Amino acid sequence: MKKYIVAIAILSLLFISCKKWLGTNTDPATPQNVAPHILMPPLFNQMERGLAGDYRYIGRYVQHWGLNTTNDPIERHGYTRNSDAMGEIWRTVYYGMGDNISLMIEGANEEKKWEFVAAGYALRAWGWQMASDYHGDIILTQAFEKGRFIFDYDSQETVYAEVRRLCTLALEYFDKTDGKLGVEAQFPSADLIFGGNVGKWKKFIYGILARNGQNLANKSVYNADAVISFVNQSLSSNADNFLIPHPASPNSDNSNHYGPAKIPSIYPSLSGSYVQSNMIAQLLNGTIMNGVVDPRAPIMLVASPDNSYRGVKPGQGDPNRNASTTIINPTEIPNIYGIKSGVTPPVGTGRYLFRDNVSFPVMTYAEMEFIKSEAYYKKGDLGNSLIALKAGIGASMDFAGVTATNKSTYLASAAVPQTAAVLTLRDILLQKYIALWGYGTLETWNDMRRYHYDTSVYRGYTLLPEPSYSTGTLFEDNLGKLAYRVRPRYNSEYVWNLDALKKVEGDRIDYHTIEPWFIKP
Amino acid sequence: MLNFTRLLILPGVLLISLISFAQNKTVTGIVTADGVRNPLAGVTVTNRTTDQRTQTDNAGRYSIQAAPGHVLLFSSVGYSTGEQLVSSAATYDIQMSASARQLEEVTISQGIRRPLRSVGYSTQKVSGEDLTQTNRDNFFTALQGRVAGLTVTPTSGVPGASSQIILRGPVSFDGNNQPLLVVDGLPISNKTMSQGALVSNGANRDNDYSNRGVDLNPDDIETMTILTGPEAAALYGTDGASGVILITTKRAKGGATKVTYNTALTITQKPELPEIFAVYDQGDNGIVDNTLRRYFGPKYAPGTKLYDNKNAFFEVAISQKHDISMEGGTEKLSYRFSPSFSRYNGSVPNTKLDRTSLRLAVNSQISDPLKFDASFNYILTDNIKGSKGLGSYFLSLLSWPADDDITQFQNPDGSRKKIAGGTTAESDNPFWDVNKNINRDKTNRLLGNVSLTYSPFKWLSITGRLGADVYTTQGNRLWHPQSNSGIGTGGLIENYVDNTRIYNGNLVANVRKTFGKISNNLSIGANFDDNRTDINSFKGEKFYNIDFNSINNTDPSTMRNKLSTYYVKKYGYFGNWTVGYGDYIYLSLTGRLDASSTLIPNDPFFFYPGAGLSFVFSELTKSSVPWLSFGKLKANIASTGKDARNPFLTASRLDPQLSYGGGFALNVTLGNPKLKPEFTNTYEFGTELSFLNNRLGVDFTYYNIRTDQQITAPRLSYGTGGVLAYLNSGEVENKGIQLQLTGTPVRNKNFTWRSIINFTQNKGKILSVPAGQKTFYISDSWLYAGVRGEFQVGSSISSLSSQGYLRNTNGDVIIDPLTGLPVRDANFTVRGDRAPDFTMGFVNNFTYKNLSLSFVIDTRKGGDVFNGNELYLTTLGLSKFTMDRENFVVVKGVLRDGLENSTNPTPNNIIINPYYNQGYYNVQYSEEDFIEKDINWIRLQDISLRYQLPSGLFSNRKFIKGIEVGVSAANLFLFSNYTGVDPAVSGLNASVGGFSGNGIDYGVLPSPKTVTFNLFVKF
Repeated sequence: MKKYIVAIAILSLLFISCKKWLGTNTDPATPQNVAPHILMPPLFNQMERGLAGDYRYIGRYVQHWGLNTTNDPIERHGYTRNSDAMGEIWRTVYYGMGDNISLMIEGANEEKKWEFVAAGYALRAWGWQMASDYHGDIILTQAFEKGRFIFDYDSQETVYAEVRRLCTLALEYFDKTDGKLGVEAQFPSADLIFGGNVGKWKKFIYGILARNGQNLANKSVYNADAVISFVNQSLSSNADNFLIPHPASPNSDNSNHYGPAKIPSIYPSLSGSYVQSNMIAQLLNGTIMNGVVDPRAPIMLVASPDNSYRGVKPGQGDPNRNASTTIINPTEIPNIYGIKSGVTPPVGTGRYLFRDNVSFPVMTYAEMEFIKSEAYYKKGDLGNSLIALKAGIGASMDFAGVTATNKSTYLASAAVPQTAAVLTLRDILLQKYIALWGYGTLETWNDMRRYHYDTSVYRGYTLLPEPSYSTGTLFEDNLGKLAYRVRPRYNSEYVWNLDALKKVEGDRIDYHTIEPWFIKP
Repeated sequence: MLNFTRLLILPGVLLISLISFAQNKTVTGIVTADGVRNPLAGVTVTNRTTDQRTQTDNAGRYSIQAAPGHVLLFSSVGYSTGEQLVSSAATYDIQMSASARQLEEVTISQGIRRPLRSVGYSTQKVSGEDLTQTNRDNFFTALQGRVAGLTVTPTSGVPGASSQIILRGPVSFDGNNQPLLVVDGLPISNKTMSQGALVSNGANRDNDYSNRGVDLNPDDIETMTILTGPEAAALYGTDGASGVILITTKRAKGGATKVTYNTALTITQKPELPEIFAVYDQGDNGIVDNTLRRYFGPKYAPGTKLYDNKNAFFEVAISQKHDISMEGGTEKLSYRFSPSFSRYNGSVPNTKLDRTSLRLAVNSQISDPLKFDASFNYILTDNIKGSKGLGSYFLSLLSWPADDDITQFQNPDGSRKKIAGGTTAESDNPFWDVNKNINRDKTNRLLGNVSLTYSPFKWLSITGRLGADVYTTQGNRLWHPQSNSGIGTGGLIENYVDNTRIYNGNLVANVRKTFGKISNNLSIGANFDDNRTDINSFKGEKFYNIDFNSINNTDPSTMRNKLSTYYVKKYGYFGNWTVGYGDYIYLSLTGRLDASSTLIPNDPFFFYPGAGLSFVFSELTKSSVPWLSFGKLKANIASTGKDARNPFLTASRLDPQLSYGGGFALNVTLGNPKLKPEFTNTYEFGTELSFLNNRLGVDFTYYNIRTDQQITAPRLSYGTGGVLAYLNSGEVENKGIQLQLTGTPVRNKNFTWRSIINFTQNKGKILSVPAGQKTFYISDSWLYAGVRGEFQVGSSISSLSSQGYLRNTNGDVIIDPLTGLPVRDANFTVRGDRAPDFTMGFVNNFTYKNLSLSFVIDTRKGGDVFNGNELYLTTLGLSKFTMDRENFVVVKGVLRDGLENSTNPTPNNIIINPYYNQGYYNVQYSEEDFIEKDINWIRLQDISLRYQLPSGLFSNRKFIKGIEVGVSAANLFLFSNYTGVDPAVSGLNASVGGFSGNGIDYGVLPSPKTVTFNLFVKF
């Protein structure tokens, strides 16, 4: 009997020590659990990737730019069938930031690093706001739920409420003082945007709230005073701008998504085929603005060899383009990098936002002033509206790098209403359009959709079909309607979540033309 | 290296010349069949000491030279081998056992040997000799057709290319479906490296890495036993879930020192390529443009000099092999030392596989109950592979302009000669590619295996084994700065070092005891496996010196590193109890408890049982049915557990980010904290019969394999927070039959004809797709156009999906009214199944006196193949399909005018002229047209003719004791309804899971024909 007991004892000992021998099953080469401050920097790159990636396309909807070739389906308010194109914001919000934010919040909560919790909620609120403005209905309540493979869509109304809830939560966490804060939490070094300045983060959060409120301007629940109050607590100078930085000498991995370094190898990127639109050219070359040439024109735009600012109309490409890759016609429009269109710009070159080391704007002070101007206008306070408009134009000129003299000349010119009495919505929204050209594309699209692409507001916008040409008619699947939302990412939703998508009619061929909730009365 | 092997011969030669021999005499006798008392003709009688051989005549008589102390070996197909020690007598009559193969023992697991008759599942054996003769660079390829239930697909015709082996059918959606490779009782690595481990993180289609089993020298292999059944696999643990290939290496037999030298010279012919129609010049829509690599220009002007570039590129390659073995010692201590060198040159210039192997095996009977056995094998493999897939010499060769001489690939100053003008990116001249771009792997490997067997009683033996498999592969890939793929980066080097080591061991106790009519065979044991791979890869760009192959020659700011680690530890306890009653009924119970580190922090233990029944009914019918030599019914039911296929999946992995500020972010594939083992349930039954003194045998098995809750990584909605996620989900069923017919149609004194037919049929069916989805695809398999390995419920893991034409509800092709061309449908639809209806191998062996001829015919019926090469040529205007371009065409279909789905759609009446409208060929094509259905083949896989020089020639020579010469050939002919070159292809390397790239023929060099001359000398 004793023998058996000894044998059993030895055996069970063997079992226990053997289990220990198996080890931990954690990867010695790549970590599977890291501190919040290591998770934060990549989130900013993901924000930029999402915006830049999709602005390539909706930049054509809002006619910020177009391609140098004809008959582009996107310029005709279409989309690419069975493709992930236009799905970068979706990727950013669900994958790029998605669970990384959850991990960051989780880790920060454990260690009482409240600033990371707050920033996490703020970035998540920003993500939901962007994704919903872009796609309409999105996955929200069931998102990131473990063990779930089919995800139901939530209404935009739910998303808008959730954004407000998260913003409030973020503000509360930024006010908490009982945990590890600042340098102790390594927040300033991880915060590539504001260097740990909590005040600026709060302004960013109020900026999200301002966008959230102003987008509902068509609704009876719209509260202009609340929006004005949000704006007043948000960005108050260009120093508060939310800009995603890049190193002075970047490589293709850490450069600006709009810069040439990304083009050959890194997705998503622009290309040498992107050319400024006819609308922005006409807004800055004086055609629309009562003959006043905008001092931002030489900074933002590219002149043809004959020194005129031209742009492409949707679907038409550049009719003056020389087919040769080396010869440029006098009236030909160079690409946004300032060289012959269709030619890939060399790394390190480029201009304005389209350079490798320039910061990518996510939210600017100018935008806030334009929101305020429109809110005052809607309220009927034209005086304050004009003040905000001028502040917005000034902020935009400063952001672009216009000289003080040129700025004041322009502000006093016929391009800008000089009295409240002559102020129109068109003045506000066209100036907002100019200021946000190239980077505030989604905000511009929100505005355009709120005004149903009204060309009396958006003067210079080319509506399709335009009878004077034949190739630029609307995309076939639109059934004669303009684009009002973007379909969710193809290889996420149309392939792997179609049943849920069908419930919100996402399988309709004209789904992208259905007006979203936020613009409805 | 060659000089080195030559040097090795010398001491061997010296040794032999010193040995003197005992005086021989003539020994005679009659061989009869046990129980029947019939004389047996054609029995091979071998003097094991002198290796002299003879055969019995029709009266069963033999006569052979032998001296006292020599051992005679009697062997014949279908009979157990007999041995006879020669003493002073001159006559020895032998009775061969009639129940033959069934008395053989089979090694089923880790030192457990059981009588074959008690085994309730299927096992098959292939001799190493059969594989050696074929002299293939990857000897696994030679298994095709020789084993029922086994499919080998080579991934390319260049030396060192990986081979994918699947037993029965693919079970795992995206995981490894290849069997475990076990050498002398312990698993070794047969890994094919996955490119995902490298900095470049490429898909496994533009490079290949050998499956590491190629390191083994086939000349060291005594036998290969293939276990397709579940029970033995259950005994090997989780890695054996897809079957096991057991390799037993050669051991010395003791006695006088014997030296053999086996050399082979192989001639590899130029491979066949798809037919190219060089009729039209480069250009678009009928207009010449020599900057384009498309052939839609006008016809070549009469008299234009056209070159046979295809023929100019490939070489007739000559390969050689030198195997030496020296064995000797005493019954107590014997050794076998086998140095070997082989060089396989590819038909693609500069490609080769060199393998040097030094192997020493020692066995020793230390004392009566204690036996010691050890082997050490050092292997050096050097493989220059050439490029593969997109951007490779292969596709460039297909598309090279016929009016340009391909051999002129350099300018006088040595720089790359471009043919399309300076600015356009153009694919490399194939010669430039193979001369200037480098793709090379060097492996240093050490295999060690030590075992100790202690048998204190007749009924008890205990065996302990320890093994180590340690290797380092150094990979070097270089894109020359002037190459198409190197221009953008200014030259690119990616090197890697793969450090892999496996330590494993087992301890098995085997008890055999018979009580009256009840026999018992009990094995219990434990094993461990400690498997680690660290792959360090680094790349750099922008060469300073354009022709200097070193990472130090790259711009430091472009350098990138990556470390990938695979680390799995496992152990298990297993037991098997076979109880037999009266030699005819056996019940076998198996159980295994495994523990795997891949499941931690969850419960790492999982248990799975098996049971088998074997009923040898011929024991009962022996007297009443004399023509039935043997009859057995077998049945087996088992469950096999499988841990996660990779370590570290129970938590998501964070990848370093290269964006500004660095940091980490979640990998695209999410981990799963709730991961649990997956289980495969199998049942099989069958029969083994042999008739007429074992002249005819049947081995039939039906099986059903069902795997549920598979560990897969499907793509899912990004709502998960990832792009893919590891899950336990999805269910697959495979059922099929394995049938082996063995026969000896003719057997007499001088002539024997033996034949084996292997028949395999497998039907796979997906019962549920992971995550309750409708579809699942292997992204690596999407390697060209809109075709990929994608499947859905009801189809199988081998199904193939593609894009195609958009059709109306009636199935008519929809035509764009603006262009008159079909509209493409970007959705993927299951179009076919790459798995065959059945395969059949026909193995034949003829011996006439000292001459023997053997060949293997491999046939297959059904199974679809995507002819991607033809589609590629079509889009370029080089395929025969584009030669009708000057005829006006109205594409059959209906116009997309809103009426296409109505009862009277408008038929297309738009006439197009493809000569001016190449979109007809290269934009609006349908992949569906290039998926060739029901591809059959009959292939002469291997043929070999051998002649043993009469032993009388050497009876007076003390130096040379025997010479055998032979000639063999591989892939000599292929009859197939496939329009491409060879339908036995894979577009991917063997590291890809699921059904991999099987049946996707794109950009891959087909297996070439080879002819080998063998010389085998015994000293």
